[in-house]
Amino acid sequence: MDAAANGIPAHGPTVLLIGNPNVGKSVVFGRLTGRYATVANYPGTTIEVARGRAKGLAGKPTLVDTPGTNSLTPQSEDEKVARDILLAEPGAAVIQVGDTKNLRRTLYLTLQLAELGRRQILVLNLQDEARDLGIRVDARRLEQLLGIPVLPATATLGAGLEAIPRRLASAAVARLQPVYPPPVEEAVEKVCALLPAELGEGRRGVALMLLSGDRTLAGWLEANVPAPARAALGSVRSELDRLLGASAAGVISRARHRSVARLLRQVFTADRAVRGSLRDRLGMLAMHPIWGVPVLLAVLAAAYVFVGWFGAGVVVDAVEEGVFGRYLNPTATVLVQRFVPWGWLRDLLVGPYGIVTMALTYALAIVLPVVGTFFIFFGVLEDSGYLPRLAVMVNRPFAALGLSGKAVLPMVLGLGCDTMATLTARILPTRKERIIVTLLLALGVPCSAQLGVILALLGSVSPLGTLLWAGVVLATLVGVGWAAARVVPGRSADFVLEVPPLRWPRLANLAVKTVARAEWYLWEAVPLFLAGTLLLFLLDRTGLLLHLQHAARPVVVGLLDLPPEAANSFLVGFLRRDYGAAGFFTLRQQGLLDGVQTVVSLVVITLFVPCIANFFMMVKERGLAVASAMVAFIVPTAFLTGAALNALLRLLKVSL
Amino acid sequence: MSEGQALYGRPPAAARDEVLEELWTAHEAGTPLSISQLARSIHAGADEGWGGVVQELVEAGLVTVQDGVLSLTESGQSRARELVRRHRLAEVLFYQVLDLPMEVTEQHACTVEHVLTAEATDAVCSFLGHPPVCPHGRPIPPGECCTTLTRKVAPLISRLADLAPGERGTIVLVAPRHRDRLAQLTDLGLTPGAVVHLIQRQPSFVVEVDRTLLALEDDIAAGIYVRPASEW
Repeated sequence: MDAAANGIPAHGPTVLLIGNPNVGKSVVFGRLTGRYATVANYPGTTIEVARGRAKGLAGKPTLVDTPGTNSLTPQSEDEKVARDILLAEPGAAVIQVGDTKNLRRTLYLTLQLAELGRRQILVLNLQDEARDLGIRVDARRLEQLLGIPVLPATATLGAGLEAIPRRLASAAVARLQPVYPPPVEEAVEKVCALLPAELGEGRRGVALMLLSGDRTLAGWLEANVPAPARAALGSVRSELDRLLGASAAGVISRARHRSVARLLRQVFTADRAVRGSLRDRLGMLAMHPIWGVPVLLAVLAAAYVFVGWFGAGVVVDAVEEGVFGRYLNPTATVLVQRFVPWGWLRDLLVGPYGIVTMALTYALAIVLPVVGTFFIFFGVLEDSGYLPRLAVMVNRPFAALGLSGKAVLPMVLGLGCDTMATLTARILPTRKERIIVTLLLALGVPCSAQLGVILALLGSVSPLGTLLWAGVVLATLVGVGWAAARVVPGRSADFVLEVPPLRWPRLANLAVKTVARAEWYLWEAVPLFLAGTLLLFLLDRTGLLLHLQHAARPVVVGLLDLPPEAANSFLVGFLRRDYGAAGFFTLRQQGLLDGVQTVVSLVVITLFVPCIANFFMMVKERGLAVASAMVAFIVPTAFLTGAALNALLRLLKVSL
Repeated sequence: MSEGQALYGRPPAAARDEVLEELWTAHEAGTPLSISQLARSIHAGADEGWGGVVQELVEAGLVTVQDGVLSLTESGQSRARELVRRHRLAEVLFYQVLDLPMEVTEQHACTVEHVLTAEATDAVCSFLGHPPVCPHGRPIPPGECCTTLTRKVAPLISRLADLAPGERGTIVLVAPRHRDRLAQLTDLGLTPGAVVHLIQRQPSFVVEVDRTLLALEDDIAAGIYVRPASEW
């Protein structure tokens, strides 16, 4: 992705929201545009840019919500997005949102915005948390010193944001100018002369990025600076490094920090006495070497009760047997029998592979309650700030898989929806990690829809069966992750993660977020259910299904010892693996699968490619070659693992 | 240009130092050396020139020869001791702190040992936290700064990874294994001058800096050098 692709200039004036991660940019975005952008208590929630019309601001500009960044010299793909948008929208004013508690980092970014010549205002958010910690920032003094509007705010309560429309008019370039050593200043001047004039005031900032050795600017350079100037630029840089006897990046960042520290001393006071609230202590407990484990177990137990027992049990029963079983399906069947004269259409609507009786029942009665409760639970975890603490807990075990604790977010989200999780892998800093996470998600992290079906099916075999299924899937994940960590080229990430304070989830945010996610899920899943149903129906009608079953016989019957009809489930499993699992559920109900067959078929379908939507997301994020290679690896792995398990169980004469 | 320099490719004083060091090491290992063994172990070949160097040392009262076996006199010992101390401290600095490869480390340590003053040596020793052994595991002869240490003066500098939970320190040096990490750590506020508070070491390092909790990889915590705050 280069700058141009990321920031398609919108019509009319544009205002950019810029800030460090997890400071509340998306909350401000929602307040100003009335549109919802995903909000959570986790750094890196916004991975794609959201745009909305800010009706309350003068001229109704387009407001752009950007992923959080600590510096305009980016460290990961999501940080790069913010910088690229700044470059693509040279005229746009900036609303910088900052964490009052961490004014140092806020001002570090303000300084870089000033070097890019950006007009801005500064919203000092999270005043409530700062107050709790005994931190005071003299906003008026800061405003005088910087020469820009500074607005104290608590965005989640809407406090302080009402001043934005009025103060945005006086946005200005902040007066925060570090003193760089003379060789740096000279080099900056030389580089500025080589940069395109359209950058205007921004040339100084870009020159400093280039001198800091920012390699992510290569694409932008290629597009905007002619080759001879690029070469001259390279020599200015190496000359500077030689003159300084050290990397320019270090010298530049030290000068910046010094000038920020000078400013901080004038406006920032922290009362050390105030601390140790209940939330603080709970936050520490959640990542304590000993107490962290019971906390984790309690969270898992709560998840099981809420999603497994309540969502997949109580709600599914009520909706499936009550709403669909008693009312909708019988009514639909009667209506169709009466008003539809064509037998094939009747079958298509309400037959065994019917759209209403199979696809809709399944999508709305079984999947929606499970996915919905999972997303509510996940939302609570996200907003409370527990997930970064979980990352702290699992960082060292994850290292064996070539991953860092940061990967816990996409992996846990994968239990909700693998497609969303694959997109979220962007927050990981190295390509190697992104590849491994994408592979593991696709290979063996069942999404909640699938998990619901699988758990229901496992309930019908002995507990040993459940243990076997979980053990084999986990072992495969660990084994493949371990191998991938050694095979995939590149560097494993070292782990640096901000751990935000615990915050009480806000119901409104939780509700909006859950609805947004469930909507995404249904839009993605229901058409695929319908397509799968239609496919089975057509194959069944044309008699092709029998041929396919016959062709798949050596694998399905020969290797896995499953009935030939199981081929149908694998077939729709290519569309969605939970749909495949649902197929086994039906077979089991018809008494066609014994215990061993059930466990074997579940292992295979769990390790299958998640769904076609996930595959498209893999292609989009990792490229066609990598995505295809993964599928080419996953499908045989799934069948071979199942075959091995089957052979072993038969050999040991286990019955489940 | 003296003849000695032409012969050994180093100033005569350095050649003498080399011999003293070699004798110290041999004494440490309990294997007394003769002149010919000395020349062999010093990788110079059985050159007659070493005889001349030893002769100078004997005349200066630093070395004695008895039955063809060389040993250090008292004043020779104290001179050798200083040399070995400087050499091994330099090894710790170059190899363990600055992560230079061993051959480069050796080369620099051999140069530094001849030029470091006593004051500078003690400063380096304190900076490194009075390390007891060199990277090869041989003991580093303690200096005056280390004996004062028996008064339980904390090392001037230690790694963030070596602090105990609850301790604080001021960052003096950030030296991550991968250089490109430096910018990110700086952006997060982990920069010289910042005060860090180590919250926990298990299950991962968590530090507080600027009112923000940061979880860190072991590697990164080991690459951050801090001056522990004394009141803790």
